[in-house]
Amino acid sequence: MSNTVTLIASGQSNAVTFSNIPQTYDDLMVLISMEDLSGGAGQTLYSVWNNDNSTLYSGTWIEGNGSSSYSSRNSAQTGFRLGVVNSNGSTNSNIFGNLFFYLPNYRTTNRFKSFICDYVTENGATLAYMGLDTGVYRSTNAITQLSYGTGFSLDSITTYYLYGIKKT
Amino acid sequence: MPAQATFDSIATLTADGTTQALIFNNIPQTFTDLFLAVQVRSTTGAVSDSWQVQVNATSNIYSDVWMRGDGSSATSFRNTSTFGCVMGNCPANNATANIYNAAVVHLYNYTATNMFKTMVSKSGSDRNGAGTVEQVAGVARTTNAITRVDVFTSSANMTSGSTVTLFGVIRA
Repeated sequence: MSNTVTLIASGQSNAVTFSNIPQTYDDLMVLISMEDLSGGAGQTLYSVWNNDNSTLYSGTWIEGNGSSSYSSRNSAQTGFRLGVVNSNGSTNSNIFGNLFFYLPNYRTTNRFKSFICDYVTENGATLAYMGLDTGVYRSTNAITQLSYGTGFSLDSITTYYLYGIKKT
Repeated sequence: MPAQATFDSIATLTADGTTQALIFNNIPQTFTDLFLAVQVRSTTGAVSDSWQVQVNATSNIYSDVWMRGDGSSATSFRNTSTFGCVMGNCPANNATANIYNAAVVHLYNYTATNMFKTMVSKSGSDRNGAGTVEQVAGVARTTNAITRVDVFTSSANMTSGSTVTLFGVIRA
């Protein structure tokens, strides 16, 4: 039996850093189940790669919030905006949002690194979100580290799973 | 009972810059769904191109509906009777070098002979101040089991280094 998908690591906390990512796969996939404890309209989830805080990141996204849809972008950022973490966690406990993240060819050194991710944050209240994000990290370096966090308090059982995808 | 792979890599194809399509032939009929990881760029003389999926080497049986964000507005539109199923955009020759798109496609029940074939893609091609992100649902109006999948850029050859991987998915 082939091992196409392998769980590399998992984390459970306010933020997580996957370091020393093995350079033995082809693509990376991350699944996050997340809840924001700060209340309000939800917090933005950010990601920094290779511990690089230079302005090599940019993104484009489309999002719906239950009453309208819209698109926005940023450029020359110091990290990626990946999505919105479930809002009103303090008043709607036990409702978690979910995020799927896919990074192809993460160790290829002949191209910049692009990702695609989608997320949902339905919370049984107002201002829930669903969206689709893409972005490019303008570096040809292989990705060896992925960090995720919001800068705000997330539920302690927010979970992050990093998978390696091996292609035939 | 021996363990069986639920999500299995079938094959990866890499473009050499001389062809427009990457073609998967003789696809095993032993899975339930197909999944594609697509990272492509086009050699056409523009900043972007679209990319398509065609099944069984059959053209003009496709329609698709798009939800797209371009950084300033969210739009939705559809295509009908297209050559292939148009599943997303990708950077092209006039875009900043080294940027490829990132996309995944899920093609459901590809061996079923009692339904048309539906596929859903999520595709993004940010170019640091430009680009789009889109989710697309498409249908190929054939009840034939899918034995061949072509992935191609719409207007010109794929840039060398473009990759497409075909995975098989088994559902219990």
